[in-house]
Amino acid sequence: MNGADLRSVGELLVDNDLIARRLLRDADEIDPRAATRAWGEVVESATGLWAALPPPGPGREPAHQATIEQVDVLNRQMVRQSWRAGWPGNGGTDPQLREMAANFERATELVERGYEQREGVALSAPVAADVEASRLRIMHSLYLAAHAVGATLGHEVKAFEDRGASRSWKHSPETVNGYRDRVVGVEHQLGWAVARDWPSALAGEQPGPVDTSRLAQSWAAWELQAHRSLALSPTTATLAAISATQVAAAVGGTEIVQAAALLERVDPAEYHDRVRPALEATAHHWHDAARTWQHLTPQADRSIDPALLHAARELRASLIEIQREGAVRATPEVMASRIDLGDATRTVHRAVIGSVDLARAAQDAITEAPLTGPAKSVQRATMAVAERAHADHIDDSPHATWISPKDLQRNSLVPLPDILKADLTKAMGEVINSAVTARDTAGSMRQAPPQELNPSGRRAEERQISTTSTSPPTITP
Amino acid sequence: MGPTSTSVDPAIEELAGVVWRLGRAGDLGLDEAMRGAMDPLGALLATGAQLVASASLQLLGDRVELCNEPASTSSDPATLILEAEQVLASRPIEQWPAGTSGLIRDVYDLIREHGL
Repeated sequence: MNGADLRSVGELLVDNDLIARRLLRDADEIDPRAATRAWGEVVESATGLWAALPPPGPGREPAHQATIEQVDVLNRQMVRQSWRAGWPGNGGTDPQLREMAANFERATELVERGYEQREGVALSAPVAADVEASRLRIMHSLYLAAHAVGATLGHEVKAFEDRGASRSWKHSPETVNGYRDRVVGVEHQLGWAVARDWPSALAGEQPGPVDTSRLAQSWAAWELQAHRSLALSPTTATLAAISATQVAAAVGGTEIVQAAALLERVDPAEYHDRVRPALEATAHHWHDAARTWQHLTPQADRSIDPALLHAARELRASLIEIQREGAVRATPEVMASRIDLGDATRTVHRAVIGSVDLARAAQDAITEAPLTGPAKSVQRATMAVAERAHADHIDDSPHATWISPKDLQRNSLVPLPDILKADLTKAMGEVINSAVTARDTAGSMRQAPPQELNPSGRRAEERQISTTSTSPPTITP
Repeated sequence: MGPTSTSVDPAIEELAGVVWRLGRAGDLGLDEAMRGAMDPLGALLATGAQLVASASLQLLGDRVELCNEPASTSSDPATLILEAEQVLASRPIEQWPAGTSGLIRDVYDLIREHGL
């Protein structure tokens, strides 16, 4: 910045918030070594500012003092590790993180100059509130920046893995992973303080190397939790979340099996002719169900069991780490470098088997649970069903009174009418039928080493598989 | 030190708009991902947005019904998520309900993961 820096402490901290958000957005492009070199300084300057801010009162510690002390300890460990391991070594520092550290330092100077702490004197209420806001801003920007640096280090570990990195002690993935663990530790410490994280704090993008067992574990955990949630809280929100996650899982599973077919880990012709249409039909039927439940569940009513939320996020994260390369779809070759596509195909098959049972459990919930929905949505859905069922006999008043005018006026939560439940049960039956077909076709799919199926070494893509989808089946809206 | 606003209601209203946008992006995104050739990343973006929206309902406390009110005319999932980010960036963190940092992190993850 040219000339004198006239920014206030508050402005400096808001600037750091903006920098931290930019870091989050650009985390894929940040140089992990430059970020690691700068990170220690960011934490040190942030904890310095924290210490310089006046305490809330005589003998009183600010809230989250222990969190900041733990962050400081983790940072010191990281700096010591850097000396020992010789990584990231000498070089430049990330300019955005450098700017954050400079802003924290400048703010510390202003605080030390402006606040002469007097023993035994409590802060006035407005000043105390201001100081509290400053502490929150420090933790918030540090939290976001830690998430960004952790993601950046995760990419570095992946890069090591992808290159088949040298195993020298200086440059092993384990060394970088050690840094990442500490930065993620900082993020989690701060997360409990500022984010009040839902149980999925550890889910989301897993920045480390792809754990080959993660997909199978997360899928199994998802199915188990979906069954539990259907048993314990069979609501339209639960059914909406399960159906939507099943869509993403079915589409993601198809992508995995397609990659296996393109690289001939499974029989490409069988995939193309039988398996893909069956998997796609299942995905479309789950989508049909998801749309119905979404219409019956306004946003405000979409609160779900935290354990279900966590399991869904973990499954999503395990799929995205395999299928994303930058912001685009990973090629089959990239996916194959991350996981064993044969194993992953078996995982998909197990998931398809599980989806039959899950759809049955959802069907049971529809028939047995006292499901409710907002009156207007229920009325609309019921009218649509009634009109379809009696297409030849629509009378002059299609607006049958399935729901009382009073409930409609208030848009109260009302039980789903039997005619609607019967239709939803039938729709779930279509999910079951398609999942059974997918289960049987995927179960008979031949898995073989590439040389057995493809002696010429040509990719299946060149021979017969089109990567574009077949036409989706007709779905009743 | 800059002033500290204690305004709560407008922030809750804006936050409800963020949740609405994310939920809407999820619903529309799932439809989009299933139209024509299935799009696995599109489906993951959509479910990601839906899950973030569900998790964020707790931030609204007893004003949760506000997130049923449409907050945008856009029907593009990416635009809705970017709008949500812009709303979140319009206030300093202390003006949002406690716990909003996690929502901000998750929205940026969606933007970064999918190159929005």
